[in-house]
Amino acid sequence: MKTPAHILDFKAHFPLLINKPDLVYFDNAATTQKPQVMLDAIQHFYQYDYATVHRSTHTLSSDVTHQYEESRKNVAQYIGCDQPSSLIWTKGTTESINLVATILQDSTISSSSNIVISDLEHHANLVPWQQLCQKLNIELRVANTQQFQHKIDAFIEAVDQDTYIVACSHVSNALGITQPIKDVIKLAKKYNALSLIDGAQAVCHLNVDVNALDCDFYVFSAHKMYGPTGLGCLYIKPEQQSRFPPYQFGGEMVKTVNYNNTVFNDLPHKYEAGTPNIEAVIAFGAVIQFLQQQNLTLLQQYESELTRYLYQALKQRSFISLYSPIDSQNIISFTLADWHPHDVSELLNNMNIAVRVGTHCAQPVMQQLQLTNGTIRLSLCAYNTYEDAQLFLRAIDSLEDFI
Amino acid sequence: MTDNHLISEIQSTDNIIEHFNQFRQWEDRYRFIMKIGKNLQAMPVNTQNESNEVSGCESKVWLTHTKHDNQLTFFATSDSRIVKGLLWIILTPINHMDNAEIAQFDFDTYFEQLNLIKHLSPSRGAGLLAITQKIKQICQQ
Repeated sequence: MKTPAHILDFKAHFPLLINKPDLVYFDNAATTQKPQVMLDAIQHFYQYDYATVHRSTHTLSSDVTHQYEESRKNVAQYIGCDQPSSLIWTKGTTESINLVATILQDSTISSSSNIVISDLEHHANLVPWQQLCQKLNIELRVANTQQFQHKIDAFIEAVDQDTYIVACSHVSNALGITQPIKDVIKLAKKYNALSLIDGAQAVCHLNVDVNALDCDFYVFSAHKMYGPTGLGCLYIKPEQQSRFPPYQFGGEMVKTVNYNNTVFNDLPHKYEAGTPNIEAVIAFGAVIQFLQQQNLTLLQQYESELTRYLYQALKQRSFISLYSPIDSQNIISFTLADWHPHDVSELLNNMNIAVRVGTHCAQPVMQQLQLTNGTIRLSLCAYNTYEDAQLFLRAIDSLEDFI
Repeated sequence: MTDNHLISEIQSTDNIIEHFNQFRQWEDRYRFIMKIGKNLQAMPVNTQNESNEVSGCESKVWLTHTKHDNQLTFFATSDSRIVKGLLWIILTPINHMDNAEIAQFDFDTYFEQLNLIKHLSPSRGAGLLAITQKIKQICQQ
């Protein structure tokens, strides 16, 4: 198999991969590399445009405010949202989920309510809900997908008229399983429950349309889709926007303040107290523009082909146990018979191959699979080549020479 | 190199350092580590338990000791081959020392001479430190 020319062209936009030609980077689910356009945008911002946003009236500030809000508009459009004010900037997926869990806590949840999550969640979409349930003394229900076979059935069993919110990942970070979120959202709606979708592992590889999905909240991070670290997004459906109290208090999230009272600002500002991560927002805007110039359908097709290729190759090796499904979304989680995952990653690291090993911030998922030491996780994206895949397979086959 | 005759000769820190430094390639260093771990002395019966687990290592490590005529002997194992090898590198020389010598032993210099830490991941390095600290603690008891 040869890597198509358009993929090599795409890869050429990523300076780290050019500067480290021997590196095989298969840890994209943790974070992706960054394109040159992002670095240029950051440099240009500080060299020519730097000022604060929204607060000041000088030209520099109004220009950067314009850029900042253009970014919001572009990102919103990228996920199918035509109302930019529905998109709130956060620090990342984790903060987005914590924000929602916090504002729900202050709203009225009755003591007979329950919260439903799936049994494939990252700790970030589990612990905030678990803690909220403990605080309010309500039930946390884990939709038991029975070793992930009967996906929607598990939710049908868990969700009922007392369900307040269903929180579910779009794609599981540990195994790459795509969850039936359309049906999950529909089910939540049927019972008047809210729905939150953790899209951290989806936005980089799938077309997301929050309008069509009709979820109440959709959350993701910029850094897992070629964008900067320290920036996340929280989409809140328009109908839900005035329903919940603020998250943090401070500058810019208010309309009027006196010593007795404060009138809070509208969305998105209501949930963006304090000076935001302007640099990251500008940088992310540049990344989204860059992505819009790519043929995303071709990139996504290629990612799937490369994932299938590696999956089949690993499947042929009797010493490998696969834990991802065949239609896994860019992630292959596996173990090697009689090998500690950390030993595998240490040797691979010496061969310039970056993978993630362990429990992938999803300990309950690994507990269900009875994998105390977790798995080795390959996570691919569109700049990975067939040569990377072949180097990886050769490396895996060479491991037995070490013992 | 895992030949029993040779192994029995590699026991002092100087021997180990000398042996280790003959490796020019990382592959040889790791092959040695992963094979030599098989020569770790077996843990005494029923000692591979939670109370003997060393925390701070990314793979599981169990460490225990016996005391005969006031002389300490250390036993350790791990579920990782690499860590087992590292444990052999730590325990082999100290199990030929008296308690005072172990208490004085400078692990940092030893690891530096082995040129070891820079080849290990930071978390492995931290794990090694946790093990040597536990050994020192036991010596001070």
